[in-house]
Parts: sequence; structure tokens; C-alpha cells
Amino acid sequence: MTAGNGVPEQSARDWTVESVPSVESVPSVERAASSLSGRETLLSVRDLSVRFRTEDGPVLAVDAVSFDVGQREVLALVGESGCGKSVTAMALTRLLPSNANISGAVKLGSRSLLDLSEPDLRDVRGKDIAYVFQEPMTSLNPVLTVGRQIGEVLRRHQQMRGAAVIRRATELLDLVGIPLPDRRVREYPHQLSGGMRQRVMIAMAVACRPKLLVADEPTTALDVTVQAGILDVLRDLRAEIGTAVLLITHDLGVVADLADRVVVMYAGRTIEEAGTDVLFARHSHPYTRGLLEAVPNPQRRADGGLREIPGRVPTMRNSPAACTFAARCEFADELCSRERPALLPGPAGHPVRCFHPLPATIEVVK
Amino acid sequence: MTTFELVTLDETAARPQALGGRRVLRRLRRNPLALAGLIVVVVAVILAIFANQIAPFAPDHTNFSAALTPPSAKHWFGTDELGRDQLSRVLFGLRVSLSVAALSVALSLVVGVPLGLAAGFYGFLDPLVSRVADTLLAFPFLILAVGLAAILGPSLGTATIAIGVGNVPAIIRITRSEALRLRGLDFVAAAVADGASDFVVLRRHILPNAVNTLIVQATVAAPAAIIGEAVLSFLGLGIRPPNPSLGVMLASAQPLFRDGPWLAVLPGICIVIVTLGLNLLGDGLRDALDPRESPR
Amino acid sequence: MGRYVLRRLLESAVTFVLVTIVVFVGVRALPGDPARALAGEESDPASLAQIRKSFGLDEPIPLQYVHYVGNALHGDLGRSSRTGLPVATTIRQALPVTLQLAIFAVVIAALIGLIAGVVAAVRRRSAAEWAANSVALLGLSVPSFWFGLMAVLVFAIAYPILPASGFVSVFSDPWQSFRHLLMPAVVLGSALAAVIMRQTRSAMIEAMSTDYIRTARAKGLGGRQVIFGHALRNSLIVVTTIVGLQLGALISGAVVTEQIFVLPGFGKLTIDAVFTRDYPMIQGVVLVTATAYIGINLLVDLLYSVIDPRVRVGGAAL
Repeated sequence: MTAGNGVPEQSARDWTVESVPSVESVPSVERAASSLSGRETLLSVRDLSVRFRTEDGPVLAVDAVSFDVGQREVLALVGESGCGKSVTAMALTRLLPSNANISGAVKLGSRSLLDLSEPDLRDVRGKDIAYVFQEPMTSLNPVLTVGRQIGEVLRRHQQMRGAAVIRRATELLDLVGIPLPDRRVREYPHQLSGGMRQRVMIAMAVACRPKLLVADEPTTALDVTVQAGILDVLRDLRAEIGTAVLLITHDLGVVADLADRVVVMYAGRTIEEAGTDVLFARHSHPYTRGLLEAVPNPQRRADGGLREIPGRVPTMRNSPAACTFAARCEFADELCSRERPALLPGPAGHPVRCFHPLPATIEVVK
Repeated sequence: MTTFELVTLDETAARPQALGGRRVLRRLRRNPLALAGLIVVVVAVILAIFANQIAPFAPDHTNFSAALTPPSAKHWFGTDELGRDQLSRVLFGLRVSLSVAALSVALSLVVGVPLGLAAGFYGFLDPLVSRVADTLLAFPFLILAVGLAAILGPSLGTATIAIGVGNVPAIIRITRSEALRLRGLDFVAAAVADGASDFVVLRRHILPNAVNTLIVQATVAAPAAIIGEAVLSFLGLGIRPPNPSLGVMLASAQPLFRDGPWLAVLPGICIVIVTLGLNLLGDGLRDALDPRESPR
Repeated sequence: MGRYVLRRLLESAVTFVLVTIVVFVGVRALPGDPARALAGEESDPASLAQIRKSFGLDEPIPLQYVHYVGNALHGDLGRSSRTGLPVATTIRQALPVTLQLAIFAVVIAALIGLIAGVVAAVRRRSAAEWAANSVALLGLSVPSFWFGLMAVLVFAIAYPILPASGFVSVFSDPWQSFRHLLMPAVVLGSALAAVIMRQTRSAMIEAMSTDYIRTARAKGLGGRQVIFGHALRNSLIVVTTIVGLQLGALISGAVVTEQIFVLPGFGKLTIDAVFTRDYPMIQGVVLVTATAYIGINLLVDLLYSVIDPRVRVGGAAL
């Protein structure tokens, strides 16, 4: 069986469970060493699943997802809308609505987060793991001043009081690059522009020097020119405070700019995991290639415009015993509809969940 | 820096998600309280329509030998000081209440919706309409009713007009804010760009989306209208005796309170049941029309 | 904020003028001849003409209006055709009764409504929410006058612990005043309490599903802080505006309550005036009511601007 470009493919057989030991069964130290390039693991997620009870029945949003985030590392979680990346991020500290059922293991250092009681988990939120959300317009309380909202985190986790709170809040505003911070600290969210609001969100998040910063589409709602500024802030903070970043995004440009490693998700499952450069140059999953090709490329004008991946991201009810991408994949065959592929090292050396991964020699897509 | 955004396929110019009728019905069916309310309302309407056939006595049939008897097998609701059967009077009174509710709500919609749409859609009309609405609002409902009753004479029609007019400012306000909100949305701009006339835009795009809120408002207005009619008749500003109306019955029951408590208790309970039914139904409709998912 | 206040004041002034015109013309539209009403049953053309002249009823209406407004601004609202006493004085005597009743009712309604609303929003799908909802529903479905009648039946006739009628000012005898006003205030406030409860509940539920509440949770804030510091704070905006609109219904309701509990208040004054065709009194009463109403609305709007900083301080362009 050959791929569309005439290069002979290795047979599916080579990648089935029996012939290659499953990556998930390799002891964690080894795995950490190979994929985290020497960093210690900060966050370890194993078989995380999230099910929602809805009016129309149960919905499986996250399907046995596993990944690690190393200290001071920027890990990007990439995928189309609806693939479950945001839900995964929120599930880490059980920030989901009450109709969500979370299973699996999430460990921060040595603590298992999902087993913690709600009060204990509240100690973690904002202090060890902090969030930055997508919509700065609506994510800030319109009737409280900026300083007051930043102050809440300081009061809660560092027991600061009084004038010290305002001072520190002003410092934080300065840290994230807001001009005239002592004036801004007394202003209300609606008096700030979108970019500044997002910086305020970041200031709130790093107020207690968290170990992990979860940024859920931090630049999506902002203008292009403002985006660069936000990314700079994130980069600088990471250097100064040493916080690791879990970056949720569907914008591959942001990924290229900021991320050390990338995990690609589709329909609730992780399907590929690699360092950023490797992912762009030698990706293995057909979906990943589709993602990269869908990016508008001025040099491809001759082909006639935008490439898209036909079809839509499915909503899953249960975890099907099949590859969830099969319906949209040009390489899919009968095996893909029959068995769930496991996450195994692919032709380029990094884990991929596919029976027919792309060969390692593929042209560079920038 | 160039963006490398992915193009997802279902990027539509956001048309607000109006719920499909089937979905609304399904949600409604699953709400036991709303269903109970619906049943109560349906029963009440049937009783009111067929009052002539169902009532055991004529509502103004007097029988002095049976005056002021408590509820019994012959007179389920007892009789009043003129020997009139209370059950029959309640049934006819129900007819009055429901017709006033329906007509007054219709009146307020007919007057209020066009005014509200005009105010929201055409900026220059806004101050004018708003001032009119404010002026109307400055008169508490009862003052309005009292005034109308004084001019037109107390009657069923007066009560209906008073209640209907009293509700107009709220309808105007709601319709206006919906029109304002929807006017700024993309799909309206798209329709206008396509060359649709104002009237068409209003009718086909804005109105259907405002319907949900209007339905909710109607379900709030109807029970208030029933109570309003009762209050007006109680005060002598609405339908006048000997015509039966639940409010009139309660008014005449007040002086006879110690001797015939059933005269006051029973018609009141009927008002409460019907109003409760309408309120439950209204709540159910409101929840069913809410586009948000309800977590289970 | 200055501009907003100015604009609202202007609007209120315009509305006020419109209201006075409507009242004036409306009263003139009432059937019956005011001169004859003033003169009584027997009157000859001469005395009628005399009355017309002394009351200025022979002047063109716009002129009458100007005179009336001019006098009103000096506190002179004419004389009652029923009692002959100055309208302004009678109103001034009746007003405190209604005010005490209304304030008492609002306090009760706000306490019950807010507490029940918050409880219902926070403890969703629990017995407490169900109970609160049911009570609110009943409050909306029970006509206040029937509720009043039933209350009198139970608490004044069957188990007489409260007086069925009469008014005692809180300034003269607080305890007796409380006893006399308790039932009327509860009856009057019941519908308002129900409205407050429902509005609070729905505003809180809506607030709790917003993004900024999500942010608050993500910061590690706990339940109580989230509820009171964030959700309730934002809900109060909506609740205040809605309650403000409802205060008009309170004035209406007072009329009925005063009728049932025989309180010599403003409402009773209104009804009596209409039924005895006391035009000057009607005019005065309606004018005062409308003014109060416009004033309350203005107050609510200004309050709104204080609570919601988005109105108070202008926003920056995005």
C-alpha cells in the first residue's frame, strides 16, 4: 500500500501492539528522559478522562489522555476547536462544572491532585497552578478594580494585607509591562484595552509565582499586533520566574514561537507528541500534516488556495475501538475502523497514535 | 509575525441560536411542574368555555330559602346571602378572569411591540417612545385603572383596557432592548446588505428572535392580569355586580366574613390555583426557551 | 457621571411635565361638572357661575394649568370639594401612614427575598431551593387582598393575636405600631418579596456561570467569597433596577391593603376621592403619586450608576 506521494509505506504490521513495547508501559524515568530532554517532571497526567452528563446523554470530551510537563518547560496542547484541549486543562484542578466526571491521575510533583479535597485543591489553584483564560473582556469582574482583583490572589495565598497588597499589585502590573501601573491599579477592567486586560490576567496568575501556568488560548481573542506583546510577556515571565507553561492553542504560529514541545489532540485523544521543531519538520500523524497544511501559505498560491481537512471533529459518546480520525483520513483502511491505535514511537522516533504514520522523510513545512 | 491560524469549517456569521420547536417541547415535557401548570390551565380554559353546560345553576339564580349555606352535596361551594350557588358563580367568574387575561395581554402586545420595535430600530424615535412609556409608567397601575374607570365607567372593558395599557411600558421596554441588541448583530447587517427593506428585516429577522422574550413576558403578564382583574372588581372598578367575577365575589364576601367564611376562601383558592398554574407554565416555558444547557 | 446624571434629570423633568399635563387634562375629562359637584345638589345658575369664577373654572384650560402649576410649586394644591380642607394638608396627613407601611413592607420583602434568593441559587436542586421557589411562586399567585383577608381570618378572628385594623404611628408607640402594621406590611410585601427572590436567584445563577467567576475559582477562592464578593455584588445591579420598577406596584398595592386593614393612608384617600368625584383631591393625589414615582425611578437610576462602575466611569476604547 502506498501513500499518495508514491513513497512506499511500511506495513501496518510493524506498528501493532505485539511488536513494539507500548510507550505507556515504559517506566516513567526512561520516558521522562527521552521526551523531556533531561528536565524533571513537574506535572504528570495519566489516563485522564472527562465525561459530561448532558441533556442528550453522556459526552466523552477527554479520552485517556497522558502527558508530562517538565520544570520550566513550555508544552503546547494543540488541536481544532472541540478536540478537548481546554477541558483537559480545566480538569487538572477540577475546574469543571458539576456535571463533569473526571477519572485518571494528575500528579503535581508528588501530590495527586484529583484525590485532594476541595479546600485542599483551592490551595493549589492560584498558587501552584494558575490560569490565564481566553476572553479578557469577560474573565475579569467588571465591578471590581484591577488592583482589588489581583489583591484577591495575594490575600488568599500569601496572607498579605492592606497597603502591601496594593504595592505588590502595582509591582505585578509593572512586571507584565503595563504603563502607569499605579494609576491602572485603581481602574476598572472596562477602562483597559483588550491587550492590557490580558496582561492583568497574567499578572493575577503569576502573583504567587506558580509552578505551572496554564494559558488557554491566551492570544486568540486579541489583535495580531497585541498578540506579540502577550507572547513576549509570557516568555519573559518564564525566564524570570521559572514557571512552566501549558499552552492551549490552535494557532500554530504561537506554537512555533513559544513552545518547547507539542502534544496534538484530536477528538479527546492525544495523537502525537514531539519537540516543536521535530513536529514541524518530521511529523508522523496524517492529522498533524493536515493541520500544518491548512495554515495559509503565501508560497503555495499556485496550488489554488486554502487546504482544509474535510469533515468535522466528532462528538464522542464513548471511546470507540477505532481510530477517531479514520473518517477524515485519506490513508485510512479497514484496520483503522476496527481497532484503537495505541500511542507508540513512530518512524521519526516520537510517539504517534496511528496505524499508518507518515514516513520520516517529508519535506519541511514552515 | 504572520499568523498561522487554522481554518475550522463551521465559521458562520453567528446567527443567534434560536431553539428548535421540537427541542422546546421536549424540555417542557420533562418538567413535571410545568406540565402540572399546563394541565391546570387547560382545565380552567375548558371549564370557562363550557361554563354554561357545566354549571349546575344559573349564576344569578336566587333562592332565599337556601341563603348562606355552607358547602354541601347540593351546593359544592355553598351559597351566598341571596342563595346563589357559589360554584356556578365561580365558573362564570373564571370565564371573566381568563378572557380579561387573554384580551389584556393581546392588547398590550398589539400596542407595545410595534412601538418597542420602532424605538429600538429607529434611533430618532427612541426618545419620543421612551418618554411616552415613562409617562405611562409614572402612573401606578391602580391610579391608571381608577382614572379610566372614572372616565369610562367601571366595566369589564375598562378593566381590560386598564390592565392592558398598564402592561404596555414593560412590553415596549423589552421589545426595544431586543431590537437594539439584535440590530447590532451581524446577520441583520447581512440582511440589510442584501437589500432587504426595513420592514422585512424587522419582520423576518428581529421579531422572531424577540419572540422568546415576549413569550416569557406574556406568561408573566397573564397571571398578573387575572389578579389585576380581581383587584379591580374587588374595588368596584371593574365588572359590576350582579355579574359574577372572582373579585366581585370576594368583595361581597368581606362584610359576611364571620358568618360565611367559605364565600371568601373558595373563590380565592380558585384564583390562586389558576394563577399558580399559569406561573408554573410560564416558568417551564422560560426554562425550556433558555438556550443554555441545563446540567443534570 | 455628571453627564449621565444631567441627562437623567432632564428626562425626569420632561416626564414630569408630561405627567402633570396628562393629570390635568385627564381630570377635566372626567364626567360630571366640577362646579356642580362643588355646589352640591341644589344650585342655581347664579351660584354655579359664582363658583366657577372663584375657582377659576371659567378660564381657558391652558391658563388653568399654568395657575395650577404655579400654585402647586408653592405647596397649594387647591381645596377638597368634599371636605373643603386644603388638599395639600390632607395629603400631608395621610402620607406618613402609607410611608411607614411601605417602608416596613420593603424591608420585610428585601430581607426575605434576598436571603431566599441567594439560598436558592447556591443550594441548587436541594429541598431548600424547592421550598424557596414554591413560596415565591405562591407569593406571586396569591392576590394580596385575598391574602389579607385570610390573614385577618387567621390572626385576628380565629386566633386573635394581631389587630385587624387601625393604625398607630411608629413615632408614638413602636410596639403597637409594629402589631398594627405587621400583617399589612407582610401582605403588601409578599408579592415584592417573591419578585426579589426570583430576580436574585436568577441573577445569581447567571452570575455564577460567568467567566469571571471561573477566574475567581481558578484563583483558589472559596465558595463563600465567590458568592458574596463576586456573584452577589454583580447580581445586585440587576436586582436593584427590577425592584425599583416594582415599587410602583407597591404604591398600587398599598391602596388595596389600606382598604382591607382600614389604614387612613394615601391609598384610601385616592379611592375615596375618585368615588366622591373630588377633583382637586384626585388631581393632588395623582400628582403626588406620579412625582414620587418619577423620583424613585430617578433614584434607582442614580443608584445604578453608583453600583455599576461601567456607568460611573467611562470606558476606554478597545
